[in-house]
Formats: sequence, structure tokens, C-alpha cells
Amino acid sequence: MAEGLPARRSRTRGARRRLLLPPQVVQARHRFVTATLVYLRLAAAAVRANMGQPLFLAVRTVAAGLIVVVEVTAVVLLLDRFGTIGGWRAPEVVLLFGLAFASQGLALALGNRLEADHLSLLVRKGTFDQVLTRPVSPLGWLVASYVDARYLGRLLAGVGAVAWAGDRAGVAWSAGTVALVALAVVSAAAVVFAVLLIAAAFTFVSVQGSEAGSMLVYGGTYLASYPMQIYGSALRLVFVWLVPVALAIYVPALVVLGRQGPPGLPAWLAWLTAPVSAAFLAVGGLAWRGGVRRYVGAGS
Amino acid sequence: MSAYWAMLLAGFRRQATYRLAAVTGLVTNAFFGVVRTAIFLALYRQQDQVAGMDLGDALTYVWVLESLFGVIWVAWFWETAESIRSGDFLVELLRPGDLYLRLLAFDLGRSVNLLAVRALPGISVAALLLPLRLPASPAGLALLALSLLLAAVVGFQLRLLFSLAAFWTPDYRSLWALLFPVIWLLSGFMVPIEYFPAVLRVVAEASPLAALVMAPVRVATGRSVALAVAGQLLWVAALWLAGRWVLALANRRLVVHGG
Amino acid sequence: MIEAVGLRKRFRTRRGPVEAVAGIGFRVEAGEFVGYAGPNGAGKSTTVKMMSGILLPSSGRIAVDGLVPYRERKRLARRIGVVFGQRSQLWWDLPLRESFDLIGHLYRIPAADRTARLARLVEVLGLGPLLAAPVRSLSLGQRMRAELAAAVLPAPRVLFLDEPTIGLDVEAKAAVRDFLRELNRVEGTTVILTTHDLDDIALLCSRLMIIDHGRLIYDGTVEALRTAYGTTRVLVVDLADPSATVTTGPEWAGAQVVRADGHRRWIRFAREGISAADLVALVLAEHEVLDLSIVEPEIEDVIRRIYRGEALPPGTVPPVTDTPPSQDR
Repeated sequence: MAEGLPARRSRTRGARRRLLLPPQVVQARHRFVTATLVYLRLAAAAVRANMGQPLFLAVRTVAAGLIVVVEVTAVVLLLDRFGTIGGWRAPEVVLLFGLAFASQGLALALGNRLEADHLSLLVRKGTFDQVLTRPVSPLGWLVASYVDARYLGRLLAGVGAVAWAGDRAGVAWSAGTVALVALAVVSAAAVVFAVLLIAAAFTFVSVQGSEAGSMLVYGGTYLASYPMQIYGSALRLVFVWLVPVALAIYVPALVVLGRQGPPGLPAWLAWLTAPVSAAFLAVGGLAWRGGVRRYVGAGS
Repeated sequence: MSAYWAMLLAGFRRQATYRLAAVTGLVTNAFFGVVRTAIFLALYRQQDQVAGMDLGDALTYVWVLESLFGVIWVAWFWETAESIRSGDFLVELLRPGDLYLRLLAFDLGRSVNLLAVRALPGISVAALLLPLRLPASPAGLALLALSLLLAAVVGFQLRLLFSLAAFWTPDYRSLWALLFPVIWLLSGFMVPIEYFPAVLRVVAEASPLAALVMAPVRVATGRSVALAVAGQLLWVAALWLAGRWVLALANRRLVVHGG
Repeated sequence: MIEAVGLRKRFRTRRGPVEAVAGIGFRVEAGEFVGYAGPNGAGKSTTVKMMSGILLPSSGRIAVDGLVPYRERKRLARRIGVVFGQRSQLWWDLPLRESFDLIGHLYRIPAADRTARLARLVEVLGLGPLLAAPVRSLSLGQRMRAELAAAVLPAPRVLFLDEPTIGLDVEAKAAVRDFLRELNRVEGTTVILTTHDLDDIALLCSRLMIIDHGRLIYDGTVEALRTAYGTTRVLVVDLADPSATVTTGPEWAGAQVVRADGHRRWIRFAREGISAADLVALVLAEHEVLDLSIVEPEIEDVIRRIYRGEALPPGTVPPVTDTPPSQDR
């Protein structure tokens, strides 16, 4: 037998057999691992940089949490006067808010440089060109180098709001419901991130940046913070199936709260949350790649 | 006089160069307006009147709010503070004429452009489709326009006061990050001040923030119009004095301590 | 036009008090073109800021066109023009023409005067094709010409320029220099040119003030400086043997090797001591020479040497005028 091949176990030892991987796969895996390590290192540096100014970080984190608190207060004030909205009571709506904020926080913690004003600044200063000359994917670099811990404050406050609201709404926290909340936050964050990617791709095209992306990010999560039955079919269609942020937030919330959705939005759609969000994220990735290719082709 | 008028026109023209941003801004305002409208429509299914506001009042609130959005929370929020921090503000100090008035005129020019390009279309279309409560007479509409302009002026004055903090602290943004949520709430950008519980409502109404949203909404819906406009004028005057005083202080600090 | 006596400025920094300007005094008459040079951090910008009224002196007296700058800044602003190399006084997003209009309004220039003057400035500085472009789209050279036009449009009596040619290419620098020269010659504008660019000084200034560590170490004409130092020249020889040492003796009359690099030697000598021909003969007598040349003194070298702290010829250093610090505030 040639040297270097792993020894074959005899069949009598059972069904297990050492897998012989073709060299390309081994190489690809190796590249993937090293790349990931690079990104982790960049991210660690970013986090360390954040930590280097603890007061600044603390203030901004508190401020992010404060926004969530104030928004929740506003909702409670509103529903205090009106009773319910679309049949939902205050704690249930706050649950939606919490999920929306948490996913916003997660998505922006990673993708804040993709926002129109930041990205166009990077392009204008020539930083983005520098990034392109490095042996890392520009997206990976953008995400990893600018991990912004401030948005984690939003994430934490959002999760806190979910916990608070869940208790008030009488949610029975089990492994299942907690997992569902996590799924909702991650999926919605993926959708928001994908929107940022698409908007960023447009930023490469238009000199003044694409603020439509910001509109979808903040508008979309704002819209999804209220129960979907109050919106007309057009809005529902767009934000459940086209930019599926509501699919990721509202539908899992239905399950957690033990409610039935309106016709056209049944609770079992929660099974589709992960795949649809992943698909949308893939679309975002393609848009980004297209944007970068166009940028590189067009020059600066 | 003509210098300040020229500055106002320059501000108008400057804002007019941002054509794409005007469109996206209009779309953004419309979007949030539609979402908020849906929210209030759903809310008012439970009750006819809350805190003295009915559905028409509430929807008017929504669309006046959206009109003022880009005018108060302007895209160029940090321009002055940044130019102070970077030292470019020096150039302004070297110019003759009244600095405060010059900055106000330029900013007002930009605001007028925004109001014309973003506010007017939005609120007009909304008025056609929804039961908004807007003044019917030309006098009433003129008063509404005045109230919107005064709101823009108060917005500028508050922003300037805050930006001048950049003379004393380089990290003005952190300070702002802490203040912002409270200001956002108290000025009525989240829910109408009328819905606030008693104590909070008194605080909000007594602050200059009331001149930003609450006053124009009152003028539009025709509730205590005179009081609302008078309040705005009062705040314009008070903030004028305060602003000039702080500007003089900042000036003096720059001159004594250097850039 | 400008008079300073015992001017001082003290800053409080994290490292303790720093005296950026430590008692300088000078007089500038109307119509002079004064260069103001010094190494980085010497106090040039600080002095200009005090002269334009945006910085309060810690002590001393200063008057520009009869006005005390920090006390009457707005009044003075109408009579002076200031151009900062790095900062722009134009409106960034507006077409250039509008910036000029606004300046016309701000400085209350009567419309007829403004149109005529602007037309001439535009022609001289070649700004015609740029008038419709937003300022942010102009190149550095174009912007600098525009800044000059803007600063000069109100016909100021004194023009302060802070590093105006920094970052410009050769053509742009030439355009700016020509313009300034004409301005000073024809309109009699007093010009204070703060610069790092020693070519600016050589080509434009009749008078030079050199500041270092907050003190004025030279105040006189460029010619005087050149004469004082200009008697020295440098003989550059390329020796066949890079390891050879050129030893100087009494017959070399004070010539000395000031630099050695590989094959090349730089030998500085004084005109009065030894002639170039004699020096060359001495070198050729002892070494095999591949090539040689003689370098005439440039003002840049002179100033570089002053920066490096070489002693100035007697009579060129102005006495430090002083008023006791304090009561002037």
C-alpha cells in the first residue's frame, strides 16, 4: 500500500470505515478554517478596541438599552390608553418589540459598516480599496473588523424585553419556547443583515448611498413590532414573503404566545422561518458579490 | 440684510442638490406614515376618543410628524459639531457679520427646501386619502406653515445649543446618545404628548420640545392654536438668547485657548 | 500696517504649560511681502491666529491696520483676507460661483464692484470653467486658486496665507505664486505668507521672518540672508576610491568636508578664502576624481542650516522686544 494512506480497518470491525477525503476537500477545509481564524482574530481586535474605552462602551451600551426601554414605555403608554391592538394586549406587543430590537441589535453588531453612510465613507476614504487588496473577503473583513459592541446593548435589552413581556403574558418558558425565541432572533437578524447587504450593493452604484436600505431595516423592524393582522394585505405580503422579517418575528411569536394567526398567517409557518430567512440571506450574499464585482470592474 | 437672505437661499439650493436623498427621504416618510396610520387605525377600533384626540386628530398627528421628521432630525445633524471638533469652524469665525443669524439663515433655507419637497407631498396625499383634520381656510393653512417653520427654527436652535457642547467635550456623541431617547419620547415623536400620564405631560408641555411636534399638530387640528403658536414664538426667543450667549462663550473659549 | 510688541502665547496642555510664542516683535509696513518661516511647531500658525483676531495673546501688544485684532475681530475681518492651506472657506456643496456671490454679500461688496473684480480674478486665476462646479469636485490646485480669489475678492488690505502651496503640483504652485506677486505689486496688498516651502520664499518675499521655538530668530531681507551665507559654496566630488579620506590642511583656507556618501564628498568653502579653481587643484593633487561640480548656495540651504541651529551672522538677529507679561489683559 502507498504511504500516507490511512490504514483500512477490516470489515469485521464493524460498519465504521475511515473516510478518504480527496485532497481538494482537505484543502478547502483548511482554507475555511484559516479564514475563519483570521476573521475571529479581527473580531477579537475589534472587541479589544471597544474594550479599550470602557467608559465610552458602557455609556453607549446603556444608551442603546435606554432606547429600548423608552420605546417599550411608549408602547405600554399607548396600549394603556387603548386596551388592545388587533386583539393583542400590551405584553404581547412588547414581546414583538423585544424580538425586533434583539434581531436589529444582532444584525447591526455585525453589519453596521454596511450601512449607507458608513460604507460610502469607507469607499471615499479609500479604505475599502485597501481592503480589496487584502487576502480576505471584503465582507468578512467589514463584519469582523467593526464588531460594534454597542449594538449588543440593543440585543441584550431586546432579550430582556422578551423575558419581561413573556412573564407578563403568561408564557410558559420551556426549552422549546426559548429555542423558538432564539430562532426568531437569529432568523430576523439574518434577514436584516441581508437587507444591509443588498443596500450596500446599491451603495456601490449610487454616489449618495442607498438610504432605502436603512428604511427597510428600521421600518421593517418597526412594522414587525406590531401584530401583523393590523396591516393590509400588501404590507403583509411584502414583509412576510419578500423581506421576511415579519415571518421571522411574528410567526414564532404566535407559537410562543400560543396564539393562532390571522387567515394567511397560520402558526405552523414557523417551520418555514429558518429556510426562508436562510434563502433571503443567500440572496443578500449574491447581491453583495454582484455589487463588489461591479465596483471592482468600474474602478472607483 | 441681503447677506442673510443670500445665506437662506444658499441653504435652500444646497439642500436641493440632494435630489436622490429627497426621493428616498420622501419614500421613507411615506412608509413610516403608512405603518403608523395602520397602527392608529387598529388602535381606534377599540375607542372613539382618547385624551381628547379622535382618529382624525391622531392621523393628522402621524402625518405632521412625518413631515417634520427630516426637518428636526436632520441628516446634517452633526455637521456643526464636527466642524468645531475638526477646527474648520474657525473659518466661520473669521467672517464678518452675525454668526448666529448666518447659521440660522442657512439652516432655515435647508429646512424650507425639505418642508417643500418632503413634507408637502406627503401630507397632501395623506389628506386626500385619509380623514385628516387640517385647516380649511387659507389663513389657517398659512398659520400651519408658520408653525412648521417655527418648529424648524426651534429644532435648529436646540441642535446648535447641543453642537456647541463640542467646544467643551470631544465626546459629545456619547452625551447625545444618553439624552436622545428621552428627548425623542418627550418631544412627542413616538406617541402624542396628549397620551402621556399627567406628570410626564406637564414636563413635556413646559419644555421647548413641545414646540417641535405638539405645537404644529395643535395648529393643524385646530386645538388651542393661538397658545401653541405663542408658545413656539416664546421658545424661539428664549432659545435665541440662550444660543447667542453660549455661542459667545464658545467663541471666547476658542479665542483664549486656541483650536 | 502690522505692529507686534512682546507678543506671547501660552497654552495649557496635558504636558504642562507650553509657550508657543515667546515674546516676538516686528513691524510690517503696508505693501510688504513678508515670508514667515520656521520648522513645524515653531509658532507660525499661532502668530497668524493672533494677528487675525481668533486667538487671544497671553501678553504683549498687536495691532493690524490700526485695530486690535482680538478686540475688533468683526471690523478687522472686513479688511483682511485669510487663506488656510487645509481649511476651506468655500461652501462645499454649492457651485463655485455661489460661494463668490455669498462672499460678496457677506462682505457687503457693492454689486458692480464685485462683478468687475470677480471677472478679473476669474480671468487671472483661470477659474472660468470651474464656476459651475461644486467646490467638493475641484482638485486641490483648483480649489486653492478659488480660495485665493475668494479671500481677495473683498479687496483686503492685508492677506494672511497659511501654507497655501502645500500639496500642489508644480503648475499650480507657479500659478499661485504669479498671482500673489501681481497682487502685491499692483494693488499694494500687504501679504504675510506662512510657508514651509522655501521656494515660495525665494521667489516671492522681499522680507523674511524666521521663527523657531516661539522666538524670532531672523527678521530681515532675503538678500541679506543670502549675502551673509551666500559666500559659501559647495564642491561636490566623486572619488575613484570610496574609502579615501580628504584631509584638509592650512592651504585649504577653512574649506571642510561637510558630507560623505560612498564615492561622493561635499566640500564647503568660502569665496574669500579660496577660489574654486584652487580648491579643485588641491583635491586633484591628492585624489583620483571621477567627476565634480560646484553647487551655489540656495536660500533653502541657508534656512535649513538656520533650522539646524547654526549660528547666524552677527547683526541679523533682532533684539527680543519685551513688555513685562501680565497687565495687558
